Amino acid sequence: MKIKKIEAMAVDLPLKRPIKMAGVEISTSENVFARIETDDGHVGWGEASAAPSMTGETVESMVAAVNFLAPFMEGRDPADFEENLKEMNWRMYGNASAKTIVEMALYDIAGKAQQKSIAEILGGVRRTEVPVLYMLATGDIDVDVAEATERAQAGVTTMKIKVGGKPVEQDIERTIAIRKAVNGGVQLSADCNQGWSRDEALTYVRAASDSLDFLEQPVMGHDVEGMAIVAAASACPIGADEGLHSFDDIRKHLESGAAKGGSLKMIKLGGLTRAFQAAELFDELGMHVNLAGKVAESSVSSAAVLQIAAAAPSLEWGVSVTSQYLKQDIAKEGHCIDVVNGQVSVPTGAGLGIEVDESALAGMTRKV
Amino acid sequence: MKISKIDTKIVDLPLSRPFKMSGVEITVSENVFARVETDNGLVGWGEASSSPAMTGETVESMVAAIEYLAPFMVGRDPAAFQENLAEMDWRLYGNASAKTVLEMAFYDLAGKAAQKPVSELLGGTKRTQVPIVHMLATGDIEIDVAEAAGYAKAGVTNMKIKVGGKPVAQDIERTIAIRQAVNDSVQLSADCNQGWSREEAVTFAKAASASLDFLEQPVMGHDVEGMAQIAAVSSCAIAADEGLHSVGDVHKHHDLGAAEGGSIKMIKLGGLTRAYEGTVLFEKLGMKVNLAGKTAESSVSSAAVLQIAAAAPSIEWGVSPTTPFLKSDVVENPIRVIKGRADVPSGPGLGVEVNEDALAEFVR
Repeated sequence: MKIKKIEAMAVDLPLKRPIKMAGVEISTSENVFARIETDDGHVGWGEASAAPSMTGETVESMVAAVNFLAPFMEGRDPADFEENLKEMNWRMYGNASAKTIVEMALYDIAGKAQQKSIAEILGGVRRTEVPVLYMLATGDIDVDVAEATERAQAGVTTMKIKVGGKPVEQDIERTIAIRKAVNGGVQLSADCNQGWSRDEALTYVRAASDSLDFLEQPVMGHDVEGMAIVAAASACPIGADEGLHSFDDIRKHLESGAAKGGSLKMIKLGGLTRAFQAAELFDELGMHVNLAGKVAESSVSSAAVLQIAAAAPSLEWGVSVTSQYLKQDIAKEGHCIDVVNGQVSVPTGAGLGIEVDESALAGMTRKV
Repeated sequence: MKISKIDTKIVDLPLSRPFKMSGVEITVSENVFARVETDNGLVGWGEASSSPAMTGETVESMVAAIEYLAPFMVGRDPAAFQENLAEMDWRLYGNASAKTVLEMAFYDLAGKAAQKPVSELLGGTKRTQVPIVHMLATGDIEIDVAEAAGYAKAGVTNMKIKVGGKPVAQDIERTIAIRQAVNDSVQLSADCNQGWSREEAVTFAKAASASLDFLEQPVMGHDVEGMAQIAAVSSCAIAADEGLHSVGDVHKHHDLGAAEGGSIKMIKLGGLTRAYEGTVLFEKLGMKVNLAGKTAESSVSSAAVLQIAAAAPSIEWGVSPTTPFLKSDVVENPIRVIKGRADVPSGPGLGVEVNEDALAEFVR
């Protein structure tokens, strides 16, 4: 089986409600899909959201990178995962999101050809259902408290508050109020997306960290020393996200006391293989794993996150599935990833385990 | 003074002769230019070649990145170098080449406004002329030997052999022959551009490193451990290039004994400030500096390389501007390499005047 054709497409997926990212309000998620065909007629799909402030990639650069890599990948065996990564890395530095898209489609094809789910290919299915983080992101204390209360009653066991967009005092007040509203049985975290200075982060952790199970990326990703300073003053563990782009970064955060866990994303590490290997490394180092997609990816990429989650040795900080933020998915009916009361089932079919509705996708494709 | 407008152009600059890069023959260099205007009527220029294998950036991604950053940079002071870098880094991860294009134009503007060359803004002019590394890249032993002998007679003091494209045994033979053709006062190096396996690199180093002053990037950039293994068997110093993307990488190579110096490029480190800071760090660690452009950039980017070279604390491994590989240039007063040396432009900013009509001819 050989790769025959690689197509990249830029797709704007409308969000259920606008989200603030790095100070800018967005109403659609700008994603890139790849459709890969093999000489024996298999079709695989890959997807990633553009994340300029996290990976530096725009939809234009992702499409350009997939197109740049395509001629080197055509003719290769999709199931030759390590060799394919090596080829992509030799041809092109960085571009972790673009490589993720290609590798996801290659895993999808390999799974379909072997009639196995990707979790089985990665190392075996350790769980068939995973806890999904519920995001408390309105920034409004009353709305967040009401949502948290309601979701906790519905059985959601892990929630994350978005902080860093308002004055720290308001984030502190909101965090404490949300913890009071849910019981101690809920794993409650806060994610700042590198929005604070060291001083702001210290103010926050001194006042609110004992209301949390963990606090994610309080300061800039490259400021590992700042993370360690915040960690030293915090009553809860610190998680890293934007700061983790490689296995070296993971070790550096642990060794310097900057983080006890973190968020693993395919688009930061460069694909499914590397994300799964990072989950293994976390487990070996005793660090806590959260597995996440980028806001907001369809059921294609969310299925890949779940496949890795199913195979990961441990998964203490839950899974973040972002297809739930989309107004419309592009998977065929009955194939969408559905979060029910804070839990989601890992697709069991071959490959990613979902079917793409190509006509729905075509309707949202734009030219770049 | 505030930035008022940022324009980008994709430019295909024809090479004076075809070039093999990562196994692919190229006849034009795919570059991106930025033209930045300020509210008081100054114009500054920046440029970088696309380098997918080194920085991961294509011309399309560089244009997309500059256009993405532009609205955040308009209204800012071009001379607020550190703040501008912090803004760009916060808005957009990576994209070191695109950020280099912008920062180069900002330095050009700041220099023009202050009536100072960029070297003065970086830390002062320490030299006005720099030694240029002459490239021996035909891969043919007889041509390379003849070229080396001729240039040595003409006074060229730094030469670099391109290796890694042919069987190792041929590279060994060629390296030894070239050293025999030039005397020991020529600083002779070989650049493999991460083309060898560890075994191939060890074979080369054992047989030919005694003929060299340094050997650059014998194995993959991320294989720092492999670099250290080769350094341990090599009788010449090992230099890093593709492996250096950050200050952290510099420390790592130094700490592991993987390199005694290396090639500093703006497009790897993300601009002029970072490249200059790289030379300061090298000096502090006792590492040897080569300053280089990416093949092949016009006199705009080469002027920036020379400005950094003028200000760097030391440049023991010479300077590699890449304009000599271009068939035509886009400035009125091009950078000239004469007998292995180039003068640092002394005018304000980058010190070169862009000919917009000449540039327009090559815009895609």
